[in-house]
Amino acid sequence: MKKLRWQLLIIFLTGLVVGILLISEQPENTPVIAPEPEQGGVYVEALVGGFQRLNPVLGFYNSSDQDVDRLIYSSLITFKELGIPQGDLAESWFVSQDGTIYNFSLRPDAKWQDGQPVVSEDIIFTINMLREGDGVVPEDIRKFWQEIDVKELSEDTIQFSLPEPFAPFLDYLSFGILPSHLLGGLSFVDLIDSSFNMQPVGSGPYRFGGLVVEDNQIKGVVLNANETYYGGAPFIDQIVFRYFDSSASAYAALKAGQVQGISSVDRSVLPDVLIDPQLSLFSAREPRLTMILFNLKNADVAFFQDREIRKAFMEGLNRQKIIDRVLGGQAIIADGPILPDTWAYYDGLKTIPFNSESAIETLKNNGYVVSGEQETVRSKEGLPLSFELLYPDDEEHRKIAELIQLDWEKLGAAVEIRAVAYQDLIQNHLETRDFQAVLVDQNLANTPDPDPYPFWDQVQATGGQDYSQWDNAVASDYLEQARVTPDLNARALLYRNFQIVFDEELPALPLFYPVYNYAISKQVNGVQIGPLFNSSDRFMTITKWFLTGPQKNVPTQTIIVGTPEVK
Amino acid sequence: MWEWRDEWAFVKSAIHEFEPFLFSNEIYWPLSFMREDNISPRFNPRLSAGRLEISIYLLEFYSSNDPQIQSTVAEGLARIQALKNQWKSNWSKKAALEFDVRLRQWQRVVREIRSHSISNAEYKNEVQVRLMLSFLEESAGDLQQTEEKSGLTALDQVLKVNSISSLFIWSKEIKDAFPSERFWFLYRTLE
Repeated sequence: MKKLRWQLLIIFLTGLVVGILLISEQPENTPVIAPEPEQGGVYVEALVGGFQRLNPVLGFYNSSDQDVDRLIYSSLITFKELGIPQGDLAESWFVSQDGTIYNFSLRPDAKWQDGQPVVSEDIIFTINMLREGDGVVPEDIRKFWQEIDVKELSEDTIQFSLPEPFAPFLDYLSFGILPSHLLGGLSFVDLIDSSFNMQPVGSGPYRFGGLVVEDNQIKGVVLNANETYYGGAPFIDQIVFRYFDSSASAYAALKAGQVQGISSVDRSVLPDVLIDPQLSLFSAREPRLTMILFNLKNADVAFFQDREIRKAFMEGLNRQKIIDRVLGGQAIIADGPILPDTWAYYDGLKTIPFNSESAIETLKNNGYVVSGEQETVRSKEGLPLSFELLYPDDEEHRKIAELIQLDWEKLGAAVEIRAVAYQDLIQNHLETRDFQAVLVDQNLANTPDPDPYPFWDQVQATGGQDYSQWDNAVASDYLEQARVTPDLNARALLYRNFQIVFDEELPALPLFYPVYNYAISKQVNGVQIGPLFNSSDRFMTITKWFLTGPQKNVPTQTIIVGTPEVK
Repeated sequence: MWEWRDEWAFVKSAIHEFEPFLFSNEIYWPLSFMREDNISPRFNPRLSAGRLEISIYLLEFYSSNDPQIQSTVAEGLARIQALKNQWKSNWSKKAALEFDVRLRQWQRVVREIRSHSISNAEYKNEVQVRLMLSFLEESAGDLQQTEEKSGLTALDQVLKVNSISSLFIWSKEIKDAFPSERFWFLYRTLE
C-alpha cells in the first residue's frame, strides 16, 4: 500500500512538471482576449486645421470640416476598404442594361437627427446646391451634375439619367446629403451664410452638440451619439474635436492630457509618437501619387519618346532614398497609376529596382554615349540627354527634385531643375504642354473609383489632363471600355490590362504614394483604418469604436450650443 | 484711407488727363498732384477707370452730406461726368478692358484668401479691387462677357465661404455710402 502511494506521488509530480512546461512553451502569439465593447465615454481628438462651416457642400477645400461632416452627415453611397461601393442611405440600386439609368431606393429607417425621414427631395436639393456652387464646389463635380437628370420617382425612390454610360457614376454619390426640409428655400449664396452651418442637422452616426468657444473664437466642436442612427448607435457617447494649428501643438495637447487622438501626425512629431507607449499609430496610403511626367511630344527632348530611355531613367532613380531622406520613410514606392489596395489595382506589376549601372548600360545600348573626354553629358546623333525638370515651388518638392537631379546626372544626363508656383505650373506649363519634364502630385482624393481615363486616355492628350500626351490606342481602348462596363470584375480585368501596358510603356514615372499617419490613445478600441480616399475615411468604423480604462477627458465647461457672436 | 481731399485731388488731376488716357491703350495712367491739394503723404494712385469710379462715388457721397464739400467739388464732378457722357462708348470700352485685368488681380487675392495667406488688414486694402469690379461691371455694360461675369460670381462664392459677415471694415464715416446688400464684401472678415 505504501509502495503504491509513492508511485502515485511520482505520477502526480511528473504530470505537474509536464503541465507547467506545456504552459510555458505556449507560442507568444496566443490570442489575447479582446475587451468587450463598452457603451459611453468621451473621445477628444485634435484636428489639425480650422473650423469653417459644417456643411458638406461647402467643405470641399477644408479637410477639418470634412472630418466633422463625416460623422454628422451620411451619403447615398460609401466605399468599403478596396473602394468597392456599398449603400449608405441607399438601400439598393439598379442600373439599366444600357448603363444610363440608375434607380435608387432609400433606406426606410433613415432619419434626420430632428426626426424627419430622409427623402428623395433631400438628394435632389443637395445636388442642386452642388450644381450652383460655382467656385466652391470643384468644377468637375459641379459640371458633372449639370449633365445628369435627377428625378424623384417617389418619396424614397430616385432616378438618375446619364447622357451616356459611365461606370464610375457611383463614385459621384459619396457626398453628404443636406436636409431639404430645413434648407429647401435657400439659394447657394444664402446657404453659405446660413446659421445651419453652425448648428447642422444630418443623418449620420453623430449629431451636432455644440461649439467650443474660447475668446470668441471657435476652438472645437462637440458631437453626441445619434441614438436613432440607422447603422446602429455608436458606442462612444460623445466626440469632441479641438482645432490646432500644427501636429506639434496637437501632440503637446495630447501630452497635456487634453486630447486622446491626433488627426494628422506629420514628420515633426512622428518619432515621438512612434515611441509613445500610450498611443497607437495607424498608417495608411494616401490617395496621392507623386510622379514625373515627360513631354512625349516635345522635339527638343525627343529621347523621352523612346520607352527604353524612359525605363533607364526609372531604373536610375533611387526612389527609396527619396522616401527615406525627404519624407522620413513615410511613403510607399509606386508601380503604376492606380492606387494599391483598390479593386482595380493589379498586383502583378514588378517594382523596377534602383540600378544605375543597368540604366547606364541601357542608355549606351541605345546610342547615348559620352563622346569626348571633356564631355559629361551623353548624346546621340548630336542630341544631348539634357532637359529641364520643373517642380512645384515648395521645400519638399525642391528636395525631391534635387535628389532626382543627382541620380540622373550620374547616368550622364544634364538636368536643370526649376521651381514654379503651383498655379503657374498648371496653367502655364501643364495645360499648355510647355515643359520637358515635370514633378507633380496627382491628387486622387474623393475619387474611390480608379478610372484613370482623365489622365491617360489619348483623347485627353490635346486638351485634357493627359499632360504627357501619351497617345496609346491600346491603353485608351481599355480605359474607354472600362468606363462603360458596369460589371466590377470585368472592369478590373480591363484595368489590369491597362496597367500592364502602362508598365511596359512607362509614359511617366510613378514615384511614391505618401502615407497618412493617425495617432490615437490605446484606450480607444475597435479602430480600423484601411487605405484612404479621404482622411475622414478613418472614421469608417466609428460606430464600432469604444473606450476602455479610466476616462480623463471630459468636455470643458466652455462648450456652448449655437453660433458665437460675430465680432 | 478714402479722405475726401485725396479723392478730390485725384478727380481734379484726372479731369486734365481724361482724354489722353481714354484714347490711349493704357489701363493705368500716371497723375501728378499739386502741393496745395494737401493730400495724404502716401496717396499716389494711378488713374484707371475703376479707381476714378471709386473717387466719383465717394465724392458724391461726401458732397451729399456736407454743403461745404459740395460747393468745392460740384463743378469738378459735373465736369468729369460730362466727359464720361461725351465719350460714353469709349469709356465703356475702357471699363471692359480694365475689368479683365482687375478680375485676374482679384483672382489672385481670392486664391490667397482660400489658402489663408492673407490677413484681415491686407484684405481691407485689397478689397478695393472688388469694389472697382462692381463699378466697372456697370460702366462696361453689355461689353462685359457673360463668362467673365460668371467668373466673378465664382470668386464671390469662394470669398463668402472663406469669410464671415462682420461690421463695415472701412471707416465708419463712409459706411452709409456702401449699403451692405450691394457692397457685402465690405462687411466680411476673413476666417
